[in-house]
Amino acid sequence: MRNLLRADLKRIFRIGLIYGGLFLALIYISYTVLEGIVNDGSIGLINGVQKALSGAVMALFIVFPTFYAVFAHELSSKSMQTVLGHGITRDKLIIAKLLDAAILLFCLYLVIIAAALIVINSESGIVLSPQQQVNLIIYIILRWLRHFGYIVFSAMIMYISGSTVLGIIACIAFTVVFKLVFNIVEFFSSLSLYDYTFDGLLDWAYTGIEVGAVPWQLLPAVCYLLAALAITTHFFRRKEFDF
Amino acid sequence: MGSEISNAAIRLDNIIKSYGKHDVLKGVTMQVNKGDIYGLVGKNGAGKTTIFKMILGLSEYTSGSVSIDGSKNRKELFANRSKVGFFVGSNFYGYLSGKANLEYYAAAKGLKGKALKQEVDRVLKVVGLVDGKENQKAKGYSLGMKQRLGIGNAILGNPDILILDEPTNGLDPQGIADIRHMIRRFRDEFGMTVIVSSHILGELENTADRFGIVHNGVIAKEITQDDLSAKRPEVELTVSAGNLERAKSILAENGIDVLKEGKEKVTLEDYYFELIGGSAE
Repeated sequence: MRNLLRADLKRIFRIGLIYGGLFLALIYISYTVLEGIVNDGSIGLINGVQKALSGAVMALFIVFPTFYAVFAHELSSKSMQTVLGHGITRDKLIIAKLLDAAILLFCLYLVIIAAALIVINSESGIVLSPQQQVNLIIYIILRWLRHFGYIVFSAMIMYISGSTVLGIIACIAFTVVFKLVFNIVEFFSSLSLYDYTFDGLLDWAYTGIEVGAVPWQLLPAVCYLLAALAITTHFFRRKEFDF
Repeated sequence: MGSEISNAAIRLDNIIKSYGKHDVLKGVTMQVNKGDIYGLVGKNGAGKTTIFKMILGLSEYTSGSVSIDGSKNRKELFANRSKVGFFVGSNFYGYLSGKANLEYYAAAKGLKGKALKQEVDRVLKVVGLVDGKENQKAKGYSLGMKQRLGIGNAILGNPDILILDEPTNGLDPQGIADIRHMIRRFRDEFGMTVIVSSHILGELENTADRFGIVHNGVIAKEITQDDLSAKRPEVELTVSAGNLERAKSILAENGIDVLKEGKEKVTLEDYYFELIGGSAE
């Protein structure tokens, strides 16, 4: 599996779309951070980072390209057949692909955060308190987890349906319209369903962390990911591959 | 029997594959010995590709057993699949060059650094993707180049066993001849056991040593080149045009009856249709 991971990462980093998305993401976060600092100093800085990472815009710039880079050519290239035929198990193949996505997303986050730090340092007057720094780091980690979750769910749909297009549509849906749908449902009913979704649990966990509560909501959120992984491997084990 | 099995590169025992109530394979038993070039022949839909899927683990068989290089259980079977290289069509990333595709699969097989580079360069030479062709994007390749790249991928790391599913599909006569030459080279020069399928019987007749005839989901018959030869007339006379009548009269004068006249010989195709009925038309 390690060999496949290494080969895949080298392949994935050749895809231009991730650099295009990253470029747009850098411009966007630089703008929101600068705007926040100019308006509200250190509070504005935090708000700027949070605004950039929480919006659908950033998700489109980094989640969609990540999903595309890792999964878009998997079915059409039939490379899975080749890899499986060489003796790697189906479970390991799925895990390797998801690890590809996690690592690529992590790398993109590192670049984006580095760029944000450069922008912040250019404003010498801004100093974050230790608590603000910790909260900001936790926020970024939770955003990474959320974005990774979108990819896990989209991959599940792609593998079950056998359609890359459906996977891509799911990815865009999770990043852009998922919360909107729940907001509309809640607007027209008294149900608070959103809090129990993957997104809602992560929001809830972060709110708890900010006030010093134990973020137990992370546990069911991770269960969502594991459930998606279990469903994906369950279907994938039974999949008949064509040449 | 024991030595037969120990010499088996691939062995299938009573493999049944069902989709619902429909049996695609109805008890396939076959053995490919080490060093063989084994031709798997049969019409489209006979089950050749399904047999390959069973061997490669891309489809689960309903019952029976598969053994690769003497594997005795599923764990060994999984492990021994790393000894198999296979070509099953154009399985590569179109946005990468031919060379980058081979580098990807070589890395996935565990090759690194200089060894990886040397192996990829070796394979590119063997399949004839050189002189800049290796650096072109694979999606722009002609069918022949795609077949070569696919075969290159199959022989990466010099596997003990090579499976080629219809490798000459869609190729022109020169391309077919090149692939035939490669197949013999893989066995004679690189020591591989080769299983190659085709629905065009004449393609394999002069390439393989043994043939498995797949018909209606079973191996209807396994035959060798010797079996084919035995079906041919013991004595074959070739006379130049114009002298046929004189040759016949000389034979008759000497008490030799001419039983059959004609230019045809018994081919693998003849044997196939004699066995299963029907005709090439």
